[in-house]
Amino acid sequence: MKSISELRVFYWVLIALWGGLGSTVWAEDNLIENALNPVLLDPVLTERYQHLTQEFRCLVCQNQSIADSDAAVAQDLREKIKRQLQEGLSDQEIRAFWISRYGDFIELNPPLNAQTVLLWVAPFVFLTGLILNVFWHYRQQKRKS
Amino acid sequence: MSGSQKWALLFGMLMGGVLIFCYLALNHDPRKLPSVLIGRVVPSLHWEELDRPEKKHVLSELKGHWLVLNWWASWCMECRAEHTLLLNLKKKHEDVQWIGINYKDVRADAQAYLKSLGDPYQISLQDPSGDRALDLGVYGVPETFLVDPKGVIRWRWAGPLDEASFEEQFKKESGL
Repeated sequence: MKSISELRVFYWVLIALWGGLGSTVWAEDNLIENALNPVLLDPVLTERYQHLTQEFRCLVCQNQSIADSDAAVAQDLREKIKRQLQEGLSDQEIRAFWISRYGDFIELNPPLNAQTVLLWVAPFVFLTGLILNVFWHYRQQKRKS
Repeated sequence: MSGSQKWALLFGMLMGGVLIFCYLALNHDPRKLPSVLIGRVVPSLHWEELDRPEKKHVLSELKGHWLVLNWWASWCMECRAEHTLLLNLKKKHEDVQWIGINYKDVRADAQAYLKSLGDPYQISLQDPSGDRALDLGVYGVPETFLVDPKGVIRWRWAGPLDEASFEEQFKKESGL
């Protein structure tokens, strides 16, 4: 039975190493990204940066913001946004830049326009319909009894 | 119509709606997302040549020809998959300018790749940081743009090119 307990120890060591390795790599990544960038040394720009990167969609991962994604394109976008902030572009200008190249799709929250009006209105219509229906039904039941 | 019948009808309609939604959602290929740059003139950016980085090109210089811009990298497996097709298409469409844009790559690797697999491009440019790709709304490699002789972007394809789609689109756009 010696071999089994040895194996167990081996697995625990492996898991510990794996966890340790993962967290150091992650920490280093962030450290480098944060320490060297002038945008992230400026609290105002940092806030704008964080806000903007939360708003844009990571293009290759469908439903993640570029702030949350480690995909190469998301990193490129983050770098470019940092440069745009350094150059003094306004949030509006930065947004316009990306929309003119990647379309409305890049916004994680789709804008309200003729194409997306259904997307925004449908849930409310549905909910109102449901509430009215339940109410009407309830009244009928009451009338019957 | 009785109450239960009415409910059954409503339920059926709801389910039908869900089914139609699922059908549309599953058939929606995110790769076919149309580029918003279609119909716009290619941005006038300066590109370094792959073999001679000191030599710069502007895409608008190349007006007067149909252009195919193909983004690729030596580390990209899907680019390898479309490579033979690119070689064939270049032979078939000699009147088209085939322009390769090497994306986020090591220059020596890119050159070795073209040497061993064959060079499907008349002009090879490089975008080592991937920065200019963002100006053209590129998602990744491979990606292909068709540009008309006036410099207007007419079509774009994300992912490895397939022959039928390219030929059909090229014929439709160029009439050649």
